[in-house]
Amino acid sequence: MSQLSQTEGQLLELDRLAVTFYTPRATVRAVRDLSIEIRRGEVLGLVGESGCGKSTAAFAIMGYLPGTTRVDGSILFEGRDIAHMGDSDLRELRGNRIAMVYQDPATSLNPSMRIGTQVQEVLREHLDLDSKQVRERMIELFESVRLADPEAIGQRYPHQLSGGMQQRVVIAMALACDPLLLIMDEPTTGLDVTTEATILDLIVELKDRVNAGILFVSHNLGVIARVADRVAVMYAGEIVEQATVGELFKNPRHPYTAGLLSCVPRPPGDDGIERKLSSIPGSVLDAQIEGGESCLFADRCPLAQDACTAQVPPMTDLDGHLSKCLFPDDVHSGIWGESQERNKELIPEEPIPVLNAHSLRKFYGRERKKYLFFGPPVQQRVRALIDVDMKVGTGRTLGVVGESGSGKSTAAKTIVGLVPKDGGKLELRGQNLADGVQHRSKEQRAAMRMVFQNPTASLNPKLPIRHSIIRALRKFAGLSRDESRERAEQLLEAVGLDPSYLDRPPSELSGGQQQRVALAGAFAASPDLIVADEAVSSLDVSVQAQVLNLLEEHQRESGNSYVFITHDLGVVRYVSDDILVLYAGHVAEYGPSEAVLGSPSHPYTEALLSAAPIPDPEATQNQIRLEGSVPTLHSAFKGCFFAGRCPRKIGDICDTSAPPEQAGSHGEGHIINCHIPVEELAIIQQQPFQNGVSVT
Amino acid sequence: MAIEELDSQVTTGGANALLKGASRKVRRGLSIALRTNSGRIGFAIVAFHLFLAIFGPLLAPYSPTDFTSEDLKIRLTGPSMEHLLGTDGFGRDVLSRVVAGARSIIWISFIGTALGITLGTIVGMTSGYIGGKIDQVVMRGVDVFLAFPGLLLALLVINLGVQRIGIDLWPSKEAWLIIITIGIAFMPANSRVIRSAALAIKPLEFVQSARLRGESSFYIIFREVLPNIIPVVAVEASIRVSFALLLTAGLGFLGLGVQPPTPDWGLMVSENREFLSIAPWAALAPAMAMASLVVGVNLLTDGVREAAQLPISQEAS
Amino acid sequence: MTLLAVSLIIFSATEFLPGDAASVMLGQQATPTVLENLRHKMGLDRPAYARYLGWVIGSPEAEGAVFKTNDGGSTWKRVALDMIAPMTRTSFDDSKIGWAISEKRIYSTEDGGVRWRRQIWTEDSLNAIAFADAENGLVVGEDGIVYRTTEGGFLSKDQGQLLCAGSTCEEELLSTWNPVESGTELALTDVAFVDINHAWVSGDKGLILFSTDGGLTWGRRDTGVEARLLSVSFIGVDEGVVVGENGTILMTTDGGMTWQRSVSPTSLRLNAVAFAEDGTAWAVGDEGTMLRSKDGGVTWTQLGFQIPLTSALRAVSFDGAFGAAVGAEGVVLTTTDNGDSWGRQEILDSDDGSAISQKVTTTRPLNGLTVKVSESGDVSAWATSDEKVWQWGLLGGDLGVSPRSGVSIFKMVKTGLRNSAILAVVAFLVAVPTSLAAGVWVGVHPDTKLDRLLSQGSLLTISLPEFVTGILLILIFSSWLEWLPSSSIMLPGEAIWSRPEVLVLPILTITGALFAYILRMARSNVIEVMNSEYVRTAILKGLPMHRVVIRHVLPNALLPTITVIANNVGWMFGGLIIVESIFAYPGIGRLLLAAIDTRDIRLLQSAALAIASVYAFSNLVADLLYGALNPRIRVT
Repeated sequence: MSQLSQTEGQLLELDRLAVTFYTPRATVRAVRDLSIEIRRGEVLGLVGESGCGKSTAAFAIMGYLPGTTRVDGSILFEGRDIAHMGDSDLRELRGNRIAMVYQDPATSLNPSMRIGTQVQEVLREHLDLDSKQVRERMIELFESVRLADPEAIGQRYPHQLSGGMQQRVVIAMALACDPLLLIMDEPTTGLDVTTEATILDLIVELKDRVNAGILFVSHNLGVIARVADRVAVMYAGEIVEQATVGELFKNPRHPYTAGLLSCVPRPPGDDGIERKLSSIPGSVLDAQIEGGESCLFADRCPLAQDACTAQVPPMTDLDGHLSKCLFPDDVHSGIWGESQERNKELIPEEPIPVLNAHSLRKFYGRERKKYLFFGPPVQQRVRALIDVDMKVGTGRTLGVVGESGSGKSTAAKTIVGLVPKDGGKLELRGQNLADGVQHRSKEQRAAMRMVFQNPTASLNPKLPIRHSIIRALRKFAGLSRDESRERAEQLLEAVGLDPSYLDRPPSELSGGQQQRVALAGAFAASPDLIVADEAVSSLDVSVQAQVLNLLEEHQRESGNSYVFITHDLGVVRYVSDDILVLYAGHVAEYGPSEAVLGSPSHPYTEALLSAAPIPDPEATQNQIRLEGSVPTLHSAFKGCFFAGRCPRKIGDICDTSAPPEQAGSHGEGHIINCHIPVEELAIIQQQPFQNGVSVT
Repeated sequence: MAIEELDSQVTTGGANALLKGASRKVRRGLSIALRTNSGRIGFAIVAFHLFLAIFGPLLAPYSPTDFTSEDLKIRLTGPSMEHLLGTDGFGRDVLSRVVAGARSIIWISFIGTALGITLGTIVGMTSGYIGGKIDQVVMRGVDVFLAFPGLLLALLVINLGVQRIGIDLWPSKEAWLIIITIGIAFMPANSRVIRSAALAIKPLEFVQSARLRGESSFYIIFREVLPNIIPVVAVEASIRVSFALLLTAGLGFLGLGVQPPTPDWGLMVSENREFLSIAPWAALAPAMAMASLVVGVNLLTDGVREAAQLPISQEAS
Repeated sequence: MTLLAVSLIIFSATEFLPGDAASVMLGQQATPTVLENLRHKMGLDRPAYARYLGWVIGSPEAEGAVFKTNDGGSTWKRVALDMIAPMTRTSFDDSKIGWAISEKRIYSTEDGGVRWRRQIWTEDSLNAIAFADAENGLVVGEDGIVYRTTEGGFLSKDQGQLLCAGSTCEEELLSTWNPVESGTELALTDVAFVDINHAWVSGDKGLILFSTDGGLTWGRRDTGVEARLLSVSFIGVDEGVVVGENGTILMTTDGGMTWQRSVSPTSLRLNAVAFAEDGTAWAVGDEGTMLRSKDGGVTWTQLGFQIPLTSALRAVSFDGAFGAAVGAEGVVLTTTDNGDSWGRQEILDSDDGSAISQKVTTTRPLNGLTVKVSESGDVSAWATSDEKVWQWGLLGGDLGVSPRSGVSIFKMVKTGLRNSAILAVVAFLVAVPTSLAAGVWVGVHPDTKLDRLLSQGSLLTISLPEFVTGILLILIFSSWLEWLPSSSIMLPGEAIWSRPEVLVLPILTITGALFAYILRMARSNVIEVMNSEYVRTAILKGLPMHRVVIRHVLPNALLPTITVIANNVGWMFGGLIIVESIFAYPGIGRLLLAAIDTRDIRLLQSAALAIASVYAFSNLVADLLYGALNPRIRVT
């Protein structure tokens, strides 16, 4: 495939790159000091929280920085400086020698152009091929990114493909001219965990097949651990640490890296002790602030000393492990307090659970007649939830996991009463819950509160943040105006915010702060149950850890319960006492946390577990991969809900009849809905599973 | 004269009430709008016209409506020191008529737009928030109304209405009919825009949050949703005002607006059109006054749009 | 669907506003009778839903026609054209003065049937009319109705306001028709008025009425026949024949005191009976039946024709030796020898008011006939038709006749729309390509000098009302430079493209606003798309800028722009109203204004509907266009 010269040496060299945007209102220092090198055949992972300048760096390498921008330093690609290159030279490089894969494939593809045209366009532009060769090359590319039916794909429009397929198309487009350098900017963010796993597999595979250098930008340490050879950690526009992947994860030499690692929830270590989740206080240094003569991380660093604010720390080379810290040797596990054992005491179970849902059902759509007046109704109703049972005890947390489309959010909305249920029973502390929230009593509404995914949208942007908190206090606690204000200040303090924030508009708060305000609003009525729908999903790891700790703290103090909805298995493992695994509206598995996450489990749980990225390059995982996405099951569907994608499918029975409910290995309270007997599952799941072939 | 005094009192009173009622947010929005050049110039022009609308009749050097046999002798004379913009076909001072004419057009257009925007906002928000069958029915109705060019609707209603309504209303039944027509004509398109804005707000978490608190639909629509679509409403309102001005002036030009001898810019252009070749000032002065007002409004619209950060393609309806 | 609703709104807007449409049309001076007339003409006496349905779908209208021969029956021409009322029967005193009935109305003419005036409009359905001389007349109808006049139907010739539709004028004259008690409620079918005293009437269920005092009082004769009698004819005051259904024939020789049944050679319905000068009686009926009796009606023989007739003969009439018979499908037979030989005549019809150049043989059903031979021997004959036709409404493209001008509304609207379309299409062809090109260019190159110039220029153009732009253009190009005419007034019948220079200024005026509007829209859309991620992708593919713009930006940016343009076709028609008014351009807008000026509500409704339809249609096209251009909506 590649007839390129095997020159040893750097493909890409960034030397003290700084990118500054000038807008009428502010000067934004997106990248302050970036020096990295990429060789051919190597994947450099670039990691950091949002706002650290990762994407700007990526686009700077493409020579694409629109607006009034100043670029200092150099970007040498094969010895030529991209930062000072003319338009026609840049055109020659882009798409040809350097190609890019973008974060959101849906918006990165032209919606009104066929896929094939968009891919062929690159080939025509850069390669001297006739149209037959172009077509053949396109098919070849589609095959190389494992797109099924490559002939037909070219004829489709982007909106007709799933997110995973779109990203494969974008990757195929990037590979079109055998580029020397591939830049991947968060290529799996926004994809489902199972799709993410398949795309990552593809990238790992490409790394060996294509002899190109890859710059892989991501905020997700687990993803980086899976694909990168070397990792550069970026903070506030600077590289703070750089090392090989194994070295960096095992032995971080910068407190920021160590902090990031300690924020990620992970399974208990070999000693069986569950560590407390630590968090990095504060937020990333604002790009509008001039750095000055100081370590930019000093204000958040537990190791910070006077020396740190007196000088810019130099990049020190410790046997090829670069660290921009004055005290790299002081960095060890424990500086972020993560070695403390997690204090998780269980409140004794009460006879009546806080929430009891029985056979919950929800359909979307209407049953329609095929013809206006005659003929039988066509089953158009989509199964959003089918016979979902759940019980949440006092002071306990139920985690609900599944991919998008699995019915998690519908479950949450049905429970809180935002959408009416179509069957089943809902009880709060033994009392029946009416369908819509408007039919429930004030006490019931106060006892059950909800926290949403998007913190920016959960606060009315036009009203000061006190609005939602005070409104809840007045509505539920019946406090007077002054009392509620006083209480609101206390609540803000409890979630770690300054009471003066009350009168600020939400736009002046960061995402994490907004989410804490939302929590304060939810805590306001001292609820028995809080339904948290992906409440930490859009937050950076450090902030995510803060919020998770806050939730746990509140639970310990007030004994409330959570229904915690997330797609992140690491998080759900950390927070949950019980786990409910949903797939296409059906319960795949339900039971105590350790039972569900342990073996044997439902094939879907197994697949989720094996797809979840773990921030440890040495972790071994089964390679069970699910292609496609969660199907839409109509109400007339027969068979097993998971049959279409199940890697353990045993035969026709899976397509023709619904799976039986079996008690899992942990006895009562652990349910697995599968045709394969639990004993058999226990056996086959002990064996390694590779590339979709089960070795039995 | 007594009527004129009453006239100005009511208008200034209304303006004061409006200014007092203007909330902090509107003022803040306006100040953002004024940060742009076009917003500043537009505001200056519109403010000047508003000033004329309020105090114009008091400033006019001559009577805008009356003429004597003396006046008739100086009909169609060109601009001079006595008559800065010349005289018209009856020897009346064109400047006085232009200055006095600001009132009817601004009054009609602004109140008509306010009516249309208010109705449209209420209908659009309610229909969008409640959704379902009610929404479908309302939007079909809106589609039908949208099938009418505004001018056509105005022509139908005003022409047939003026002759049928027997009662007289201050200032004139024509003016009220135009106001109502503008309101009716703008309501559907406006409600569609507002509805789509409300639909974008409706699924957001803070609305669901409010529902979970057990707030009433009324509270949610007006307290949670409305503040978020105020920018859309503001842009809509300023676009519609310019439409209303054009419509009102067009009606005046066609002789279907306020009736002579009341000074009205559209009517003045049409009255003096026949003298265009010998006395162009008589038609040009009101035409230019009209143009400058609409330019001002459009500039202000651009400023408001920028402040609201809405693209121009919102105008598509 | 939308159009139906639109039509409903226009209808309501014009009809349901407070006040009465007819009085609005006529103004203050209208007399009650004239008002009543107009109300009827406009259908305001019908319920609103019927008016609406009539307007949209149509209504069964009887179309009247009078055909006349002046040359002894060899050629027949239509005289009363555009006769709205159905003409059922006529009666002529001489070749000039005559009367006719039509459903519920009685008309008279003084010029041999070219112009008709309405004498009375009754509540009752009328069936037959007969005059003994120029003054004494009788009319009979359903439910035993008899009207009588002794003064030719007129009392006073004080004329009210004349309302004309084509050649029919509805001039209200105070009539001297008075109802008379007939003593029966059975339907009366025919009347024979022999002299000013003697009259006979045939009716339903074998009824025969007679009067010896000129119709003032009536006696009744029972005939023992149950069939409906359809026609009565007398020769002298004693001998008479009555015919009716089932081939019924009755005769009398004693002035109608006793009636005998004659042996009938047919059982078909006999529609009419008449006596020729020589005393021969003639009866005609269904399926071309023609009977003759040479003995005053005692015995009858059936006549056959060389070419057999199949259609019904409806009327037969003799004056002297000249006679004629008419029937369904336009059949006219004439004889000049007391019926010994009959000839079939062509009867010419024309829907054009001008000379009857085209020979259109009518197939209208003819149902009434009067023949008169003047003293000089000239033969005149009038045949009437009451063809029931479906008068299409909007759905059939028929908008009726303007009550004000008497011209077909459809033709006026069509001409207006065509002229406006010329204006609009040319303006479109000029404005769209140039403004799109300019808009795209400045969108791709924002914040350049040209961009600032065009953006600010377009803001100014948009802000100028059409009448200001128009006035400025007139001032510059026609007052100062004297290059172009300032108005587009056309001579009647002159086509707009015969003087293309009159189009220039109106088109420029429209183009100005349109150009600016599209430019702004295109610019904004292009800028939006230029900032999209897929355009970034295209740029980072290494494509040259022109290719990025043409292949990636334009398709996506023009989609919404084109939709906006299509949406504005109708809006432009609204703006046309003012432009057409400025330049006196004979388009739909001016038609609308003219309708407003003359208070012609029917024309107003139609013109408004035409504009709204164009508007709705262009919106529909915009939607379809959007669907066709956007692959995300396209069904695959």
